[in-house]
Amino acid sequence: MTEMPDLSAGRDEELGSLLRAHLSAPDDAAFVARMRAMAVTTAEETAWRSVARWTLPGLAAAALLLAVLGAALGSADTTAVARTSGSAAGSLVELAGDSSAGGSVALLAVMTY
Amino acid sequence: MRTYPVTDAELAAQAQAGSSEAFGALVERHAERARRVARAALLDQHDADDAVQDALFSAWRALGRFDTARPFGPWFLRIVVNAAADLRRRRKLRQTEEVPEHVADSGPSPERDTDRALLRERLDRALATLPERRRMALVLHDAEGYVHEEIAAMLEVPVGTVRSDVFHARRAMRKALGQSGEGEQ
Repeated sequence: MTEMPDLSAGRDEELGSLLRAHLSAPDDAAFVARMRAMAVTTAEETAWRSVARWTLPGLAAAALLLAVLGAALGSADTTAVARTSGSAAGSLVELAGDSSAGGSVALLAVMTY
Repeated sequence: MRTYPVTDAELAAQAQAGSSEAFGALVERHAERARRVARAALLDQHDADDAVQDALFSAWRALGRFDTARPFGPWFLRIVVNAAADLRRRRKLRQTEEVPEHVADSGPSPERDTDRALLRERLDRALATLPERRRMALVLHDAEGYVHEEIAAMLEVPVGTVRSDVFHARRAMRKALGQSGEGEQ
């Protein structure tokens, strides 16, 4: 073993390489490959767990929001239809009496609506 | 081993953004060194492998807090050192100063008559007689090439303590190995 300046910042290369060789194992390459695969799987599983964790509450919240919006819009539509139906009926009577082509197109559009 | 055109910092940033492949590449780069360090801590290959595996999970969980401006290697090895300590506590391993059973065993071995086998045995015994912190400081410094400041951060001790540990560990190893260390490789 070579003498080295103790307490210095320098490395003892000879002892270091001896220790490195001693602490290495013949199956290091296989171990590294196994750890790599495990790392990838761990990261992927975590990502999917995260997605799954937020998916159910997210879907439930979205469904609730849609239901509330649907109810609100439905209520607004009913009110609007009820409010406009009277005037629309009057307009239809007027349009029906109009024999021009423009009047027919307008009537068709209103009926379609 | 594959070579990657990107740095550890770039891989760490990609992994933080959710890239499992980037995390895999980081682990691939550092697993071999981590295995050696864990073995130096635990003096047992099977336990060392378990510790590296535990460290891998811990590193993934903590990756979001990793500062990519800092080197990844020392950060990961610090996790490995902590994982090894946790594993030892969980399994109530024997004191590291105690010579492991397989080292103390003087029974016949197929390699016993070879110089290499004798050297390995001496190294095992010498490492096992070192207090763990000294052993870790020596391996991290001389075998793995980290500077005292990095080792101090990994082992959570003052830099002066690391310097002293390396000094005492080298002296003990020289004494234990004598001139028999020459020739392996």
